[in-house]
Amino acid sequence: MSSAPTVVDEPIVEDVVEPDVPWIVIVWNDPINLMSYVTWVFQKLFGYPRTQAEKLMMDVHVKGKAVVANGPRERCEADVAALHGYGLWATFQRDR
Amino acid sequence: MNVAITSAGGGAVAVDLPEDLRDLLASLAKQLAELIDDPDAADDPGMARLFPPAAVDDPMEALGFEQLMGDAIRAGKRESASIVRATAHQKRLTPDETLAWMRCLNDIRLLIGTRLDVREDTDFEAMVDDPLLEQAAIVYVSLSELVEMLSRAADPS
Repeated sequence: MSSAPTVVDEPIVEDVVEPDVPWIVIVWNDPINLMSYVTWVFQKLFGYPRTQAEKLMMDVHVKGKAVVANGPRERCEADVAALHGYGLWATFQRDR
Repeated sequence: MNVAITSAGGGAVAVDLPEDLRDLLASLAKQLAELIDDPDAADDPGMARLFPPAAVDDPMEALGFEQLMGDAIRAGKRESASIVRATAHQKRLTPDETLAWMRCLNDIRLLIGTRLDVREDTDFEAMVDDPLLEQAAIVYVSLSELVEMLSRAADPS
């Protein structure tokens, strides 16, 4: 059996500990926030068109939660802080 | 008794509310601000709802977020409450004042609604028949109507 070392041309993997876009923002359903208000907040905060904001709101309402934004960690933290400012129940986590 | 909040163009809204309701909003906004600054209120379930953990099943992440963002979030809620107190009797609200009304009145709904244990299927008519809950339930339903009207009248762009 050959044990001769072979030079394998391995791809150079950058040591990416924190990829650029590994974080997501989730909004959770709650029984108090109004559908019209939640839609308005999604439009205001993320600049989503009304139809997209309504779809996200319905996802939250029907499925219990929805991913409303993604991006670098700092951006997601800021989004969650803004959503808490509006009284929405939001969390952030790695996208996996 | 007329209760109406309508678009006044340019992102502003026109507010047509009875004086006693305006007094109530100013008073509730003051109470909210006091509660935000009350260290003894930290265990209040309503306050926990206003400042929920920012991460699921990750207390360290949630704590880090609270240390990083908590002061700014509290300051924002305090400012909204302050604007509602200052503008409670205005007939017209600028876009910024409208935003503050929406945020503050919604925060008060979250507080009262959490204390009333509001669920998706809560029967407010039955609640209003309960003397202990009647007052809070009436205020909650009124605030819901106002936030609904603001969400329709205010321009999110």
